[in-house]
Amino acid sequence: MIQTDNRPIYVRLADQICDRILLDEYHKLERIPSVREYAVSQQVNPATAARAFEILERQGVIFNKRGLGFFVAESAVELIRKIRLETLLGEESELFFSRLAVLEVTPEQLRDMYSNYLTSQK
Amino acid sequence: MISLKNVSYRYVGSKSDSIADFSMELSSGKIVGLLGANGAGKSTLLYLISGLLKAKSGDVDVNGYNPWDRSPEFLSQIFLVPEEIDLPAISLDAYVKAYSPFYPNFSEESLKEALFHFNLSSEIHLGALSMGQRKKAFLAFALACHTPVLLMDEPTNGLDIPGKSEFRKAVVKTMNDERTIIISTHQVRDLDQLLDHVTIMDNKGIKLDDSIANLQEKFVFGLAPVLPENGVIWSEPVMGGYAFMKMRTPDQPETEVNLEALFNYIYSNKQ
Repeated sequence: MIQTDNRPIYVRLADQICDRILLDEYHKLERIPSVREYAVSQQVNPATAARAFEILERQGVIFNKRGLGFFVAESAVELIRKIRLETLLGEESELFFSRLAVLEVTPEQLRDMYSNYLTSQK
Repeated sequence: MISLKNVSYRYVGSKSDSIADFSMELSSGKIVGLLGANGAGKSTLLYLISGLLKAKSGDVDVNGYNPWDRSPEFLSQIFLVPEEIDLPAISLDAYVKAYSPFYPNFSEESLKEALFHFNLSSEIHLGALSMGQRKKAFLAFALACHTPVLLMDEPTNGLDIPGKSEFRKAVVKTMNDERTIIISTHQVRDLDQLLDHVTIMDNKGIKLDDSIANLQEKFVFGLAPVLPENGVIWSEPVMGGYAFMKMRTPDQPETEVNLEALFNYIYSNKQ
């Protein structure tokens, strides 16, 4: 099996923290583990963990209270959903759409497939 | 700061230098991976930094000390874990009582914690341990000394599977901005996620010396069923396709550094 996730560790760590927020393991306005604690639990270089926290801080998903650590932003869940949707519809969908186009799948067919998928999930 | 300037060393009886006209500089607060083929001089370099060997020519400076002077002050600030470890046949307790006073930052608590995570009792006798257990006991002691410079030669050799992951955790736990850790290894997959910085050497000198962050910016590392058409600078068939390396353009997302690929790429360029 070819492992396709070749994203840098700092990106994957940031993603993992987002998952924990979406799964309600980290709650809004509550403190998350420190950079060091996170680095130890994930067995990664502290600078790598710090980079993941920086990305999330820049995106507004977490915020820093001086001397207290990092906290989950009030609107973190909505923000993560928005960012993920943008990536999904942006770079991630490109390969999928290019394949659909080669196979001449019409927008209607795609719409039906998606409706069927949603029904089957209920 | 560790700096070597035009350092050469030759073992007695050898016809060529193990290290020739070698220069490098390392700032503090980094975990450095030292990579090189067998016989590239990695261990020699660690011995020169720790004062076990005297350079034939050139300057070695470690945080302002000349290691070869072997001043007690310098020796209390550096710890070397060699690849093969000889320990006296005494209890760990007796060992700690005899050796920990040399290290002002030694922490009993760090030692206990590391031993616990390595699944070793603190009541062990060093003469009655397997090779792997000996390594674990010595690594636990080395990390607990909290020396500003810690050198480790193939630290994961002989460790069992949970031992490797506990080792990584213990390294991160004892790391801080004043500390420099140099790890010489062939087992890059055991350690790549710990590193800030990579140095690849052969006995003619440094072939690559860069931070992981810079390498992520410069190169794209990938695995694909079919080789990309453009820009591949190195590739190797692997199960199910190819591992490859390309120069990165600013519009491309960064990828994790594949140290095996990087090493093979660097060694295949024989300029």
